[in-house]
Amino acid sequence: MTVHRREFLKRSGVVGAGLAAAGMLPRVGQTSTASAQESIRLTVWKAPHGAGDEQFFQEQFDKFITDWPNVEIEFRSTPWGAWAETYTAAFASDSPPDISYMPNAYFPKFAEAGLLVDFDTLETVDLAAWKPLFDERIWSLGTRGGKVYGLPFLQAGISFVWNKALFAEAGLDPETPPATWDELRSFAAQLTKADGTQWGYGIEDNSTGEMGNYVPVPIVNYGGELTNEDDTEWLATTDGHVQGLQIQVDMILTDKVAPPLGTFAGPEIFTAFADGKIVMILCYSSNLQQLLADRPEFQIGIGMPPAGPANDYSYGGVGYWMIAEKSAHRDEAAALTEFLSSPDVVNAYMTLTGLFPARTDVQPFADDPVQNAFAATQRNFLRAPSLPFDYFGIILPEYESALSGQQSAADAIAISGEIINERIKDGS
Amino acid sequence: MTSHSAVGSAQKDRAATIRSWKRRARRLTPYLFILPKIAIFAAFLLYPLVQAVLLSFKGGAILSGMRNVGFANYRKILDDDLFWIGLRNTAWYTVLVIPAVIGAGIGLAALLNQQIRFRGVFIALLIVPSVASTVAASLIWNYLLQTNGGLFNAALGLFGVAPVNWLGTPKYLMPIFVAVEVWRGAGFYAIIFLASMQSIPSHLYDAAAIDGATASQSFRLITLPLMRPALLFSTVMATIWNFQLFDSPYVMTKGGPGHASLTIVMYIYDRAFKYDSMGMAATMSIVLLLIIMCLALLQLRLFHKEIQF
Repeated sequence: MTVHRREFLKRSGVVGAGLAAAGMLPRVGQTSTASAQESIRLTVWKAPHGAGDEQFFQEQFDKFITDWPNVEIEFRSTPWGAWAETYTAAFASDSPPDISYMPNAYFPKFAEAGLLVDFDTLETVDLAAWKPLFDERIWSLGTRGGKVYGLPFLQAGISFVWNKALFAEAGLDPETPPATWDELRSFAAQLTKADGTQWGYGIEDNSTGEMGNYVPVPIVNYGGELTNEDDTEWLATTDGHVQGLQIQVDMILTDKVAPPLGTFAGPEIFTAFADGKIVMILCYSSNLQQLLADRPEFQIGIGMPPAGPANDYSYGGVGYWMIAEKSAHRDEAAALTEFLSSPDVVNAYMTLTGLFPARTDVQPFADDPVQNAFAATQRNFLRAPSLPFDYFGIILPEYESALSGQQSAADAIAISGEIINERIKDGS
Repeated sequence: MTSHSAVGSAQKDRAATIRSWKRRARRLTPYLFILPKIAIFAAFLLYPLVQAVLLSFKGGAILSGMRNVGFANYRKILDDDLFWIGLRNTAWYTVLVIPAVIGAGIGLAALLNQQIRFRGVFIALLIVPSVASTVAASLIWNYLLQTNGGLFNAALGLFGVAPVNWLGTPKYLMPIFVAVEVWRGAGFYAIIFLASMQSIPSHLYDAAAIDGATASQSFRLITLPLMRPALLFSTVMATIWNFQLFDSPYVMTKGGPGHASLTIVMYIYDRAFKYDSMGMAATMSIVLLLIIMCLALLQLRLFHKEIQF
C-alpha cells in the first residue's frame, strides 16, 4: 500500500498528539491518597564545617532511622559562598529543606518573613528541658521577637594564632603575642622576609566568601559596633572604622608584611601558615585541625585577637537547627532536630571538626591542650548584625576593593555604609 | 424535485462539507506541528519575560512581600554605581572578545579549509571546549592561574620570572576572561566559518588566479565578503552571548577583587539573591535586554548587505 507524504505526516501528527495526551493522564490504578505505611522524606541542608560532613551525617541518619524506620533523610551540603542565594531561592520558591542549619546572623530574614517554625509551637519539643543546657547568650541568639527558632548546635569563634618557632627566630618572645593591632603591624614587619618566603601576617581572600570572618574584626576594634542595638542603622562609617580597614590595607600594600589577596587562594592561606610562610593569622580551630595533626612538630601559639582603641571584640557565631514552616512533617523534623542536638552527635561532630559545642554539658576536648587553648578564645564575640539581607555581600567587595588597592579605605567604608543604610531604609 | 435529485443534492452537500473540513485540516496541520515549540516558547520564555517586566515595577524583599513602586526601580538604576561598573566591565570584555574570538575562528577555519590529513579529527577536537561544562572549564583555568602552584606561574618560573597574581590583579582579569572565551568559543565559530568557506564556488578562485590575485588577495576580496552572512550571524550571536557573561568570573573570581571582574549579569544575580531585591534585579534584566536588542539590531542594520560577484 502506498502512503503519500501528506497522509503520513497527518497520521504521525495524530499519533504524536495521542501519545502526548496519554502521557498527561494519571496512571490507571494509582490513588492519590497516602497509605499509613508510606515512607516520609525529610531534607536536611547544611553548609560544611569540614571535608567529612556528608559521611558523618549519613552515619548519624542511619542511626536515627533505626527508631524511625518510615523516615527517609536526604542530606545536602550547601556551599558557604552561595549560602544566601541557595536558601533564599529555596524558601522563596516554597521548596525549602525541612531542616536547615542556620548561623545566628543569617536566619533573621527567614524568621521575620514567617518562614521558620517557632519551636514553642512544637508539641513534641520540651523547650524548658533544652534551655538550661546552653549559655543564655547562645540561646538568645537563636530567638527573634521572643520566639525560639532553633536548637543550638555549635559555636565557632576565631582565634589569633602565631608560629612560636618563627617568633623566637626573629627575636620575639614566643609566649607574648601582640596585644594591639598597632603592635601586630610592628611584629609583622620584623617577621617578614624581603624575598617573599615569609610574611608576618595573612588575611584570607574572599574567593570562598570567608573573608567576612576576619576583615571586620579590626574595623570593629577601631570604630565600634557595626550597627545600633535594634539594627536600624549601620554605624560602621566613622573615621575609626576607616582606620581599622586602613591598617589592613597598609599591611598589604604599603608595609608589604601581608601577602596581596589571592597570593594564597582561600583556605590555602592556612596551609601557608602551617608551612611557615605566614607567621600570624586569624582563623577558626577547624581551619587548622587537620593541618596541625599532620605537623606534630609545629609550635602554635593561640590567643585572643589583638585589641583596638574602641574594644577587643572577636568574631564568632552560633549555628542552629531550624525547621521550615512549609515542612509537611513537623513531628519527624522536630525529632530529627533533637537527635542532631543530642550529646552523642554533638560530641562526635566537634571531635571531627575541631569546633565547639553550643551545649555546656558536652566537653569533647578535655584531654587536648591545643583544643582547650582554642576553646578559651571562644568568647567576647562582636555583636553580628541581624539584617534582613546579606550585608556581607555589600561590605566584602568594597573592603576587598580597598585591600587590593582599587579604592581607598575611606571610600570603601563610606560606600558600603551608604548602600546598607539605603537598604535598611528601603526595608529590603 | 424528485427523490433521486434530492439524494444527489444531499450527497453533493456532504461532499462539499467534507472538502471544506479537509481544507481547514490542511491549513491547521502546520500549526499543530509548531504547537509544541510555541508552547515551550510561551511557557519558558514569554511567560517569564512578562513576569520579569511586571516584577520590575515592584520593590521590597521577595521573602517578606513585595509592593508596587512604579518606575522607581528604573530611576534608581541611574544612581546605582555597581550597575554601571558591571555594565562597563561587560562592555569592555565584549569589545575585546568579539574580534578575538571571530578572528581566531576565521584563522582556524582557513587552516582547516586545506586538504590536510586527519582534518576530521581536528574539527572534532576544536568543538570539545565549546561542549565542555563552562564551570568545569573555569575551575581548570582557576588551577592553571593559581599564584602558587599554577601551571602558568610554574612555566614563568622556568625563565626566572616571579609568580604573578593573575586573578588578584585587576588589569589582568578581562584579558584572562577573553582568553578563556577564545579557547572555548573559537572552535565553534570555526565550524560555522568552515562551512561558509566551503560553500564558496571554486570558479571564483580560479578566475581570481587567472587575473593574478595572490592567496591573501583572494582571501580578502573573495572569501571574507562571501562569508558575510556567517560573519554577521556569528558577530550578533557572540554579542548576545558575551554580554551575558557570568560563569567564568563567578567561578574564578566571584566578581573580585573588589568589583574588578563584576559583570552586569553577576550584579543582577547578587541583587536578586544576596541583596534580596528581586524587583531591582528584574529591572536591570529588562534594561540589559533592551541594550542587547539595540546592539543586535544595529549590527544587523549596518552589516546586512548582499554580496554578489
